[in-house]
Amino acid sequence: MSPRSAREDEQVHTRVAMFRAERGLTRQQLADAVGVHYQTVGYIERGEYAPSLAVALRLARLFDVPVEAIFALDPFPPLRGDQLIRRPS
Amino acid sequence: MTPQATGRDKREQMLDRVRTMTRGPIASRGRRQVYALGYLAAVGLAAVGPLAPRPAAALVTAAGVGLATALLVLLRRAIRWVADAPSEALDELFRRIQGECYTAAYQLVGALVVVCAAALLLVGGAPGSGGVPPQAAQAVAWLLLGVALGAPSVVTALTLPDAGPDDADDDAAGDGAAAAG
Repeated sequence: MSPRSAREDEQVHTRVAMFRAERGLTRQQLADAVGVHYQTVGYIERGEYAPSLAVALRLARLFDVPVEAIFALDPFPPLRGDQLIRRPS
Repeated sequence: MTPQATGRDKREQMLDRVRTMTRGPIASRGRRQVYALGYLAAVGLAAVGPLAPRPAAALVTAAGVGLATALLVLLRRAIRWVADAPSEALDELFRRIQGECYTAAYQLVGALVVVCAAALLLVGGAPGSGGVPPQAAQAVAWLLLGVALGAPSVVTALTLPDAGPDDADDDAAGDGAAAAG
């Protein structure tokens, strides 16, 4: 039973891993912050599971970015070095 | 503190304990398969016990029941009680997996009940058969009991997705760039 919740043509692309690494969080810390199992964070990061809207909004609030900066239906363009991610104040 | 509040507090404490139990890593697929298939084999052993020659029948059944009990405990631990935990104690992904596994387990047990019932009706209802032998009825009862008790855990163990290679990695750098899309 795959954790994939969306059909292949509805793949949700994610930058959770990038934001987590940028904030210096472990999977366990991120999982505790948004109320999921740390393995669920791994599935979300690999795009194998599209989280609920509530978890997506919690992630956006934690990273202090709009939810569409974390999840998108189309692949994200590669980030340039000068495209800084807003850090939480 | 009202009695209702006490009851709610106790339930919250219980859920906290279960959440702590479910936090750890889920065992590898190989180990889960060994426990799940071992449990089904032990249930089969318990079921064939009543059909064994008289002096050995009770011994075989007891061995099967003991082995099945031990393997079910190991199996539940291996899947971090995902199949048995109250849904409030699970996160959204494992709650969904639990629901899907219970549906599959219900279908499995239902199919087995249909097969067993049909077999008993055919054997017992055949002209001149003299009814279902008590040993056969006991065998079917052990089989159904074992499968019904363990089916959710077995299905969960066999279908839980594998963790990623670095899911347990505590390194904050992780694979951020790779998954950025």
